[in-house]
Amino acid sequence: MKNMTGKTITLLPHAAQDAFAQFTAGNYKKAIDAYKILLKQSPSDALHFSLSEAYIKRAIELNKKGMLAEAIAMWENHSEHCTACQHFYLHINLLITNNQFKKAATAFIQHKKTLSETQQDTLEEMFAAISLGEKNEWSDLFPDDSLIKKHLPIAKQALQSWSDNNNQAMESSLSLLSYRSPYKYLKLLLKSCVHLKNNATTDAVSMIQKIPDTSVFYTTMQTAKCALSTPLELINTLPDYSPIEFNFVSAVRRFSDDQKRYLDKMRHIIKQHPTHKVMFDFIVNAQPWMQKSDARRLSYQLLPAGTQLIKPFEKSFGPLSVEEKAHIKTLSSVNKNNSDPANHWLEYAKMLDVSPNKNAYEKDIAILLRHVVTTVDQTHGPQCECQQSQNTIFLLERSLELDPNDKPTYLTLIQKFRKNEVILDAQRIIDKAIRHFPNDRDILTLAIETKRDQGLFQDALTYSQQLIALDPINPIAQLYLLEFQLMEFQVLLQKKKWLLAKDMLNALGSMITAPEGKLILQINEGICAFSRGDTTEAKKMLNDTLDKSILSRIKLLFEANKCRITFLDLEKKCDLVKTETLSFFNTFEFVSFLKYVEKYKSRVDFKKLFSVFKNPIEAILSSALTLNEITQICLVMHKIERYDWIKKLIASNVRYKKTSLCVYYSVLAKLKGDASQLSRRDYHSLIEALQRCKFEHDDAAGVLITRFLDAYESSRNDDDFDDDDDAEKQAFFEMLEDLSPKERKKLEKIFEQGGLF
Amino acid sequence: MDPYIILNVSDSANDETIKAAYLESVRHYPPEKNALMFECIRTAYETIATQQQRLKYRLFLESKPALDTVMFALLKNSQSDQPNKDVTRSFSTMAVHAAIVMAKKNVEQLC
Repeated sequence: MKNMTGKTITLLPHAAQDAFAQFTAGNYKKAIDAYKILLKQSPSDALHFSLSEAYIKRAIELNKKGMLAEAIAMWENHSEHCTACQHFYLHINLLITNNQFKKAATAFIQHKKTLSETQQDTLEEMFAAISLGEKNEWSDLFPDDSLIKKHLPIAKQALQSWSDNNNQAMESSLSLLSYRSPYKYLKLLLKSCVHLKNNATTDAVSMIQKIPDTSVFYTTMQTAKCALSTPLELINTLPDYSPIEFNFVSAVRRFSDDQKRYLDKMRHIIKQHPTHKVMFDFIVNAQPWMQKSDARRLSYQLLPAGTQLIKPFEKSFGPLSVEEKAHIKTLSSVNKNNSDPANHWLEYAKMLDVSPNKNAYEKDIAILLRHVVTTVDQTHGPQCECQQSQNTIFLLERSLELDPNDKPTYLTLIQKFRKNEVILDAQRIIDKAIRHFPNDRDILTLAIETKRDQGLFQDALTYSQQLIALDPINPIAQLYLLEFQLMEFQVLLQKKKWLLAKDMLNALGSMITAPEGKLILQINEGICAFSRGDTTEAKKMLNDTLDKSILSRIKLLFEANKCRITFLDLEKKCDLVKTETLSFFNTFEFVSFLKYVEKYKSRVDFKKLFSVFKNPIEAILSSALTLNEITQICLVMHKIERYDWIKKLIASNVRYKKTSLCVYYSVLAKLKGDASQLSRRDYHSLIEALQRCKFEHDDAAGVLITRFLDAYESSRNDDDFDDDDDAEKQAFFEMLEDLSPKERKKLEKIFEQGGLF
Repeated sequence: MDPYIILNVSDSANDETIKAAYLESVRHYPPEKNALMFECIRTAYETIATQQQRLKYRLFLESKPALDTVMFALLKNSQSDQPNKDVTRSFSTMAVHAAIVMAKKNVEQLC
């Protein structure tokens, strides 16, 4: 066995072995009793030593349990049995732990020489810290040459100067403390506190880092650092402080007694998730440190969740207005019932709209109406065409009447009108928006697009020029400007005014920087050369411009078509790569092609154009695609009304035949987009597909089917709406006859759940 | 947390006053030194910078009051430039407390 100092002890006889067993098992009390008996029977140095070791272990054990006086008594027992190894360091620390500072200091002075150098330094610093809190006479225990005693008045003076905010005096006192002083880290601590207070965090941190975590001033430093940190950091640490630490923080931050009392109460409550009532009381009582308007606002915020606080609120802050009461009621309803918040807000807006103080609430109403629209759009999706979503247009228009300076509302409204293809209304809002925001890029872009949709190219050109003037490198503006200028260029070509046409292209060349615009410009330069009969120049220009991709060829084809130039002629004379060799579109290319078709549908001869791309179109329509690709392609094909292509594409992808999306497109293609022609059978297959969409969360297909069914409902005569459910059910059961047993069973199940009618 | 209390402005303050308060707060708590506080100030400013934002804040009560807001208001009101005799006393008590904590730690280390 080895003792605490590492000495090996010879094994003892049987009874001694029992005592040793108790010692090694950690039963120090029993070990002490056993050793005492053995000592009475046959005293020996070895037994004295073992007993003293057991006393030490027991002292540590009792200290851990917080029985400090008992622990010290054990150490004293130990010292009676061991003169060689006295564990003075442990003893002094135990005495300090037990607040017996005087006894500890005496022991330290007496046995200093038996301690290691590190132990001496640690204890000296600890006594220095204790000296700061003791009366001056206490330091008389130490010899005159002790630095604890010598530097104590200097340290106290520095502390006093810091407390008086006299930094100069503090600095001059601290300069008297040498690096050997036990108060040396107090010096760094006070200096860094001054830096912290002056917000010189970097300087403070560099000083703090010099205080080792083994220093007694380290803990004080950490607390002082928190005390002088931002209110936000202090809020996080304050609840966990001990009373001593809290007092220290309060003193450092110079809290008044009232403030301190209030904060102390608050830091205890804050951990317990206080009720609204408790919070309300705290806010009301905090008024000495808060503006009344702040206290009122914070208390007001509690009212929706705690309506029982309305009376105390009115007692403290005066009566609530009718509008405020309605506001609280609305917030309370919104918090309680999240299913229809838009409705609650709308009711509140309506209430304000008829209030006698309506003028004071105009902006509030506008904000509320916009909030209602946002909430409806979030709930139903901006694409939804239900009645509630339709009403949003009215609400936004009303909000602009009340507050006409809200750009996002103009943008939303214009987009909603454009989506619903109500171009004249979109134009009306654009005109209004431009009056309020004449130089706004977003509004000008929408203005260009809307004018273009109406075929008012001259107006669109004016807006494009306005946008380019504001933002010369805007690629969208450049493309629009190019498009509209090229329309004039095409007229010049037809009138054979080649020089003017060329000049126009040159002028555009200095303005257009966007790569796509540059490509189109270069193609038109080639076309211009071809048109004036300069085939060599045209060949060079076009072959330099075109890469091997089908997209550049599509662009050339469209541009040539717009200039009334036969593409095959151009291809042949300029010796371009033959289009026939380009036998396949990928999805991206095909969608781009279709988008071009959509864009120029009023200006291009499609019969010729489609014949040029016959092979790649045939190829992609017959190929197996993913559902996502089918969606992308069908969406654009619907816009250009190529229902024959949709039919072909769906037929080629038979594995998706039963998906909601393909059911929808099959019906759409069959009816050539005319919802009014919807048969009973198709109606029910769409209803079933819609049910499936809901079940499978397929929102995209769901929106398309809903829109189509809405169009069908709108196309019906009023008489049709008088049809009773029985007629529908009859038709439904007739339809079931045609289905397979499996499909029939499935539909019957949906019917039983009330899903169809 | 309540943006008005963070920026130390009244709820009737206009855009200019709020901006000035924001800049003053940022000057006091620059982001490179007080990242957390700066973030809090920035969020507060973004919440009430314009009249429309202030109306939205009032109407929809985006932040619920909590005691930490009240505590913040109180902590802001401390008068750390005033001399206070309690500082010396509480510092000394804290130092003695630290010595006791240290002694306990030393005893534990001896185990």
